[in-house]
Amino acid sequence: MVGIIKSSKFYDLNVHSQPDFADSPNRMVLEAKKLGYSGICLSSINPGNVIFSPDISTSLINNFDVYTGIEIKEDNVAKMKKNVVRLREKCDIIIVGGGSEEINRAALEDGKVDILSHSTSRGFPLNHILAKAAADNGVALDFDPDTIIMQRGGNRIKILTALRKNVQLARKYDVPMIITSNAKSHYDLRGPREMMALGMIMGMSQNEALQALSSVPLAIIKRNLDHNRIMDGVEVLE
Amino acid sequence: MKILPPTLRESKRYMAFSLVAEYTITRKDFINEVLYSAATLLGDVGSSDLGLRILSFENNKGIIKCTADRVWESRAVLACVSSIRDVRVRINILGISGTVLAATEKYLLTQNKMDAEPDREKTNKTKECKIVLDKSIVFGSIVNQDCDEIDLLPEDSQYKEILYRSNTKYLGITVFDLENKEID
Repeated sequence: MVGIIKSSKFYDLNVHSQPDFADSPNRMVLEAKKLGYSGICLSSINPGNVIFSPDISTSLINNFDVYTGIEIKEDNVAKMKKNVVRLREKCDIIIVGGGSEEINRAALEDGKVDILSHSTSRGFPLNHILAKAAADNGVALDFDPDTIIMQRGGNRIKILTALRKNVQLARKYDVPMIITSNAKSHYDLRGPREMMALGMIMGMSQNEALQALSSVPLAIIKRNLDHNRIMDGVEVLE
Repeated sequence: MKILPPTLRESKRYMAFSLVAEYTITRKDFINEVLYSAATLLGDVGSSDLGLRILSFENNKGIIKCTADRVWESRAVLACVSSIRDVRVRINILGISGTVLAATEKYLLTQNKMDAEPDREKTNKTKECKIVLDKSIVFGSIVNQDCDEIDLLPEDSQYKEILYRSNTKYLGITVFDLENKEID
């Protein structure tokens, strides 16, 4: 198992940087590279849903992949869907910041969305119907250890309970699980093995935690960078 | 009292770590925070199982001992440390070994050699510099510099909001972001 961990490539698909948060894209890339990641996705998050394309210094990106993404945070389902359609072709990864039941449901039933994050931010787990929908549409469920790291006591217990329930559901219905740091500064980044350990606190097995950081993110990236793919099951062959 | 024979001792692992912090952290504060993190994450019963012990901590590097079959839980405990006395910190685990000697030689000494240069640079006085943030130019002074990494304190108070959102005290940048290169 140790050998497998050593030889895998790790990806963190939700890292925030300037101008939305305090650290510059270069700094985030540098820190992530030091921690042992093979690639990160710098995702913009702002009220206007504007994609900011970072210019990374070329000396930092040899042997390192940087993807651009966006985290859409809307309270209105119609607005969220509109933004997903508008931004799909403009960036590599589309993340929807969920929380309320309506947004969670709309995101998991939309095949254009890649990742649903913060689904448990209100302390409630998903249900079997949403889990089935996520598995059918290939939307990855994000288990972000953000609250576990930053908070203590009551709120953390509530969210951890919901996350553990989500792991059970995801395991039963084969929903792709992914762990992202959701880092707002370089102090929020954690090494791949620490993220695995936090995943195991949420009830994942060691193998599941490893896949949540390596093969699942890689599959999402490959799927999105493949220009011949139009939608699930439709591909341009010639 | 007689010490336990080797067959009865439980096997242990030594984790070499480094601490990234905004200011310098004292040894006592660090130990308290790690034990508090263990107590809140796993409870008293769980953390007694880990056998956590901080063996050494100086120059923001050190070694922590834990039992061999609880390495993942110990990692999670260290990962849950986010701030010490309102100073943002991050614990990087550099590696795990079966003996103190191996952990020191493999992970700590090599690090020291690499960091020998920037440590001297750290004592330099604050320098003025400017970067581009969201198409506008930000002036500020360099607080910490470690290799390519720079912590910048912006002069303009309009960036307080962005720092508050990120829950940090400085803007984290690199030497590649600096506008006037001749300053370094």
